[in-house]
Amino acid sequence: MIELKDIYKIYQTGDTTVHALDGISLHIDDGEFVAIVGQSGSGKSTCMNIIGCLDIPTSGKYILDGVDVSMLSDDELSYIRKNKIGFIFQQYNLIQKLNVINNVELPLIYKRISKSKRLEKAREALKRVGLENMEHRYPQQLSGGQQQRVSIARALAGKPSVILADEPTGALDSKTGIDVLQLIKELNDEGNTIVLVTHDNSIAMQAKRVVRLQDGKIIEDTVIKES
Amino acid sequence: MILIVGLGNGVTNKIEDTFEEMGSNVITAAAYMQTSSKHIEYDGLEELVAQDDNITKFSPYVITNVNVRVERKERTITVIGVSSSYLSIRNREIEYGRNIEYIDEKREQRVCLIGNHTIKKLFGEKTPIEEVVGKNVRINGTLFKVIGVLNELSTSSFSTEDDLFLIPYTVAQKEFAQKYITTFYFSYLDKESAKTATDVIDKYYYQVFKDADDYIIVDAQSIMDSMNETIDTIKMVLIAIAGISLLVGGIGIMNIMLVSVTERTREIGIRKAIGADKRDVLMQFIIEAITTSGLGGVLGILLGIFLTNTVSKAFEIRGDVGIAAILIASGISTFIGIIFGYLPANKAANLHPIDALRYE
Ligand SMILES: Nc1ncnc2c1ncn2[C@@H]1O[C@H](COP(=O)(O)OP(=O)(O)OP(=O)(O)O)[C@@H](O)[C@H]1O
Ligand SMILES: [Mg+2]
Repeated sequence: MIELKDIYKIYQTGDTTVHALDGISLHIDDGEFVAIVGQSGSGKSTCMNIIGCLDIPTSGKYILDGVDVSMLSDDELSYIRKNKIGFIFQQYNLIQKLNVINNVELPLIYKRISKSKRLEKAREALKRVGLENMEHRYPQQLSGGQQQRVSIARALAGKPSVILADEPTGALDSKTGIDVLQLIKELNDEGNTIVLVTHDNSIAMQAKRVVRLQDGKIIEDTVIKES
Repeated sequence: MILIVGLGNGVTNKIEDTFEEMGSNVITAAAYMQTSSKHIEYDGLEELVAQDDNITKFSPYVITNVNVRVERKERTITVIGVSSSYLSIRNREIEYGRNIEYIDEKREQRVCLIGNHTIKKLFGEKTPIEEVVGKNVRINGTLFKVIGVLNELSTSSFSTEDDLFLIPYTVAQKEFAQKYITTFYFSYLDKESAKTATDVIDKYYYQVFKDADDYIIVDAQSIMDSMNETIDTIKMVLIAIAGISLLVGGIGIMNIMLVSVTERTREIGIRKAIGADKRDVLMQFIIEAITTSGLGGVLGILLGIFLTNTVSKAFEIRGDVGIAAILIASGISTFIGIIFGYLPANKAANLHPIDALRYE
């Protein structure tokens, strides 16, 4: 369960202050599929990075599964990330010098899972995204859609409860985008909480709930489909 | 570093070898100008050596290069006129046959000892040394009988100590028309007696010549000591240079690590985003630093050993790397790797994941 309470994120650059998040309060239950939409610069990524414990708010409280995350140290945040959260990035963020299977098993290494278990789980995740025969390829040898699926497999491998996707289809053509979105929907059907950032309304409509941001504030929060 | 220490030891060894070859407890006395009124007599020296306990033996040293012929083969070879004591002064031995004896000197016998390499030159590569003893050789036109073969000092073909004839000094004086003996070799008891022995000989020579410029007396031990001192200084300078280059290398490693941290900030961001903590990132970079510097270290050591050996072979010195040099050099290179790897790694590990990820 994700609970944001009156979150502010304020950037001070020179003498201009930017309220990237301007008093956000948001409650997301386990198993929800939430799309965060809004114009460029409205604060979507900032919001998601805070949910994913990659960034800390200037003020406000963030409670994840009953734990006040805003009080945690850097290493404790790493611990939360590796156990609860899987990221899917717009630019895939694969490590170029590692092959597919090594990229996928990376979160499992940080979870201190044994080599044989790691390989088994990583293969399972790759199979899940339909890339079981590409484990020895390197990211440069894959298409954009394939790379994004590797990054989804990596997000899945550690079996996190929350999957965060920031514009996962942003760099893909529409057909591949639909495939990737389908995969994300299936993950939600399997019980994962999904938070998806997009500025594309047609994609947002595939989610079960849409949260619309503008200038760092929530201006709309609509449930489209019941979970 | 390894190379430098190795070669330094090698040069020292070479010098020690050379002096050992010369006979370690040797004093050489040479007179430049001898006249009928001012000259050294064998009998006089014999008396001197008999009286002084520090000096143990002495031998004349009458050296020339002359033509030597065996059957149809003719070569120019060093021939030295010596006494029966010469071999023991120079720490040489007879490998086969017998030494020149007192009686040979007195009766001016035309006999000779032959060097190991000389046999190959004059009698052919594969001639057994046993066959040579008893043969005749024509030295400067006169027939000499080979009575013994000297032991081989070095397999190197440059070894002058293995390519010569030794003949009784009395014969040499006559054959080569040397009225006075220019050079004498003396052996002394032990290192401690070197100084006294030199002084005794010097006093004797001064009595004869009344001018220190007319002769020279050289003590191998003192030359060796001063040579070693010089080499030690050279070694220190070389080690200092090696130390500086190690430091420079260390700064190089630090720079490489810093650059790789900067280059890989995004990668660090990704790793932290998917759950790596500070320790994971630190470990990764330290391992990389160790493998970079450790590998460099191992390569350096191997290269050092290799070069030492090659250079040693080329110059015929006994290069000796020594375990201490290896340990110190590899220790330092790993230490530098860890220290200079740790600092930038720590910087990388402390990055906020979002800042690292945004890094372009
Ligand atoms: N590190 C930063 N320093 C200063 N300002 C920042 C920083 N990160 C974000 N901002 C500002 O915060 C606001 C929100 O940024 P954010 O990235 O959340 O927008 P977004 O909704 O994700 O936009 P986009 O759709 O373009 O990705 C923007 O005005 C941005 O300029
Ligand atoms: Mg964004």
